[in-house]
Amino acid sequence: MTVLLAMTDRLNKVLLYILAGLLALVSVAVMAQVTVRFVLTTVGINISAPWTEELARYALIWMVFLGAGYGMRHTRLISMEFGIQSLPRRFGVPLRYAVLLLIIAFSALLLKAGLDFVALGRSETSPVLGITKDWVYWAMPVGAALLILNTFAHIADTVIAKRDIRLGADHSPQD
Amino acid sequence: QEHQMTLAHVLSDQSPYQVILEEFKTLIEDRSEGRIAVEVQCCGQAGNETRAIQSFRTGILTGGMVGGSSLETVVPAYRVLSLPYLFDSKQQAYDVLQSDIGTEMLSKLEEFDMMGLGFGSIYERSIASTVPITSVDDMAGLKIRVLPTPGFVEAYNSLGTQPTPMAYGEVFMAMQNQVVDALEISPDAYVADRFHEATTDFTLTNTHQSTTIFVLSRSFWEGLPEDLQTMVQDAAAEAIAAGILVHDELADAGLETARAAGVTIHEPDLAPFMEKARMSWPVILDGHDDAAGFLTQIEASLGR
Amino acid sequence: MAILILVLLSLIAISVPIAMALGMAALIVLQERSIPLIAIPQVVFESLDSFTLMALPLYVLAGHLMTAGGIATRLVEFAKALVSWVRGGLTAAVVLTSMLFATISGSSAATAAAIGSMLIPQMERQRYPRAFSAAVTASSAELGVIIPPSVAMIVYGVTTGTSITELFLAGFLPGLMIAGSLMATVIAMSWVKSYGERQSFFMPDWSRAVLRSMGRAWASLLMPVLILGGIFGGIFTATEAAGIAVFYALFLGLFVYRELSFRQLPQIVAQAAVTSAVVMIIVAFAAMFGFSLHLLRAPQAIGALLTSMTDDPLVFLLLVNVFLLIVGMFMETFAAIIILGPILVPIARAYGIEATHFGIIMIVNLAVGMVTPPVGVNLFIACGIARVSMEKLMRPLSVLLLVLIVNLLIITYVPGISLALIR
Ligand code: NA
Ligand code: NA
Repeated sequence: MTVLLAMTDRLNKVLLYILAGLLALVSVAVMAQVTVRFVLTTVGINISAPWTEELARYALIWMVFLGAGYGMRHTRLISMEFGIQSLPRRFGVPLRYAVLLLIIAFSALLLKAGLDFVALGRSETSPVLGITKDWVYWAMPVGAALLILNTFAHIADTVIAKRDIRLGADHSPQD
Repeated sequence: QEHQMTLAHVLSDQSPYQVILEEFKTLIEDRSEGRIAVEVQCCGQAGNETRAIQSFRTGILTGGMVGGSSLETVVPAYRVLSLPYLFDSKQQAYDVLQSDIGTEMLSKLEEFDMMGLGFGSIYERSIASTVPITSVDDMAGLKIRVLPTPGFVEAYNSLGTQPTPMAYGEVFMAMQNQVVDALEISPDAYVADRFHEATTDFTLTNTHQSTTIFVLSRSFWEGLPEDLQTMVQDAAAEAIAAGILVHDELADAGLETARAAGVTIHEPDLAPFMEKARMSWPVILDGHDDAAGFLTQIEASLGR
Repeated sequence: MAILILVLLSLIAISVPIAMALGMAALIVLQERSIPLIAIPQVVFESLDSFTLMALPLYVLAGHLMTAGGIATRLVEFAKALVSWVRGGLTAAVVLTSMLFATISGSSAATAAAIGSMLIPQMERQRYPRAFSAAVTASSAELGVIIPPSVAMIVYGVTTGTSITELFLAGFLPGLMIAGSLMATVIAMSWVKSYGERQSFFMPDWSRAVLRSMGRAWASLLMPVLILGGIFGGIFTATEAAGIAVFYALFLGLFVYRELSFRQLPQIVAQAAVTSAVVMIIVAFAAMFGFSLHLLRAPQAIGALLTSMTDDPLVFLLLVNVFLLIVGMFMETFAAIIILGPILVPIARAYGIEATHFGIIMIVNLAVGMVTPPVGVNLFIACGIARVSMEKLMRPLSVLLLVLIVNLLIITYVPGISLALIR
């Protein structure tokens, strides 16, 4: 279990760099658009860069799904934990495990629906970049797979460290 | 009833889309003697056009009215429809699209699990602006919001403007603040969305004759017995005819309202606009042989 | 519909992430209407595929860069130089810095964290009670989402189809009003309770200190001018201004203040990405929930119920405010805006209330929710920094909450305050 956990966390580390790259791409694309509109027009160059906008939107979609998948590792998805924490331990702990199983089941369903959507996306083309939309739609099944993996990792980590499973978010690393 | 139809569109409940679908509902519910029931969902309640098209393909929606430029992302051949000045006039567009060429274009939808009942009203899209545009030279450097598809972006590049992509919901404020100088829009939408309050000039460039299509989900269509299929086909044709009349009235009324509100309407000589804009055709059609094939057919039928 | 809402609330109460709770509840309706599951990605992708939404992660990133790059510190020093000579001056400086910080940051949590971690220890040194310091920090940090730019406004604008630029304009004066009244209140409280140390005021010293801190902070102070000036002057859209904010903060941090190094950047950007993703995934699944409400014709039903109760817009607004204050006690602000905005806005329109004004009411109200127990993100942050329990906070906080609620009522019933800058 420890080995698997270590491997998952290595993957998560890579994921962090990808997330940084995606948000950087969004920033640069938006900035490029402003630059094109102001700086270049002022000096008399008239080009239009509609692809920056499309690229940024697609990068953003990937960022959301990967970020959510990553966020599950330290239960950073926004949730209300004070209810379950105020329950007595012997009710709260099993209920929290049930919730985690529910999260896994729902993610599995997202994975399945996401793959169907990828298939549909093969015959859709993005208006400006001209890529087929499955490139974008893969974000959901990949994100769902990460959600499942990281929910298991969260459970494993808590069990190994003998922590209270109800206090997931309290052990998140700070921003 | 045996068949429930949910038909969707993104325009308001006063739009020609609504007229067509409501008329269709009345006709088909009456003629099928209750075997078909129709529900019309306006205003994008069932999602934007991209999602509506996905829903036709997956059978979540039975059908609806969508723009040809939205279908272009699924049916590559439809790229031809967003060429600027593909037709010389609205009437010419109607004639070509009601002919065999139109029928052949509609049949392209089947590969993508859809079924085309017919081409609807054609929206002539022109330029609304905060600066007067009386000739093609006035277009130089104009910051204009256009539909974010190659047919529009490239056309306006060729015309010397600077097409700016922007969410439609932000355009009104952007016009007031002069983030953009202009947008391309049809006269009825121009007034319906109050753009005559944020612009001073409307120039009838008629750059795009934007098509609309009555689409059904193919799985629904194939589940209909033959007698109902015929009935649906006929009712759709009649409903479309009614919608076209209403649209033409709305477009004229839109111009009138704009004029009354103090907007200057310009009708420049379009020949220089056509010449410049048509230079974008090869760029728009690059790598789309299907679309280029239709262009050849259309040109041949027009004797160009 | 009642079942749907009950399921949603139960799932949220047992700690299912809000995004997933929304999706799961929606699933019941899909099942009942035998709609294929592929509807989920269709709706989810439609809601995320938005240029406007891009402003959200960019403002979050700008906020992170400002804190790490030394902009926040300089704003604090400037505010302190301006007002620290009055009795309770340091608490007034907390409000003032929150206000300055809010003109560049889109989030309240970021405002609370940045300002709290710098000023709460200083207040402790000047013998302000910790509970009071924490209460002031928590309540003034709500300005982060009221004064533009604001992530909450972006979320409201995207989910209800309201212009973000108009919302930004509309939030400005209400934000100044709240800041002004909070400042007056904390100074008055400090006088009454003789908190802090009073320094003698000597004009030449004061102006020298102000000038010196301004000299250090001018490039940071230029940032609100650039962002808000750009948006209000109609030079950029809100999304573009967010992009500029990111690069300006980066430039100051890396090259001017040199408090930021290239090596730190991947970590900062990645954390901003995760912070944004966990909010935006709620936006995505709330669209799914909205779709299921649409299938059930729920907005119409709720609207009919409300109109049957009253046809007076003033009473409607009072009902909405009470309802939102209760929601805000328990629910996270963004989630509440995302879920309730699309339901309430059409109803408000039917009462003749403008979507922009209604948005400000919702945001100011739910921002109060960030400062009300038991669930209040600003409280958590401020208590954490000040190391006090939430119970101890209640006494000083109750006065400040009262001030915030009075502000909320004025903003609700005087639409002009919100709409003045738009027309
Ligand atoms: Na702000
Ligand atoms: Na609260």
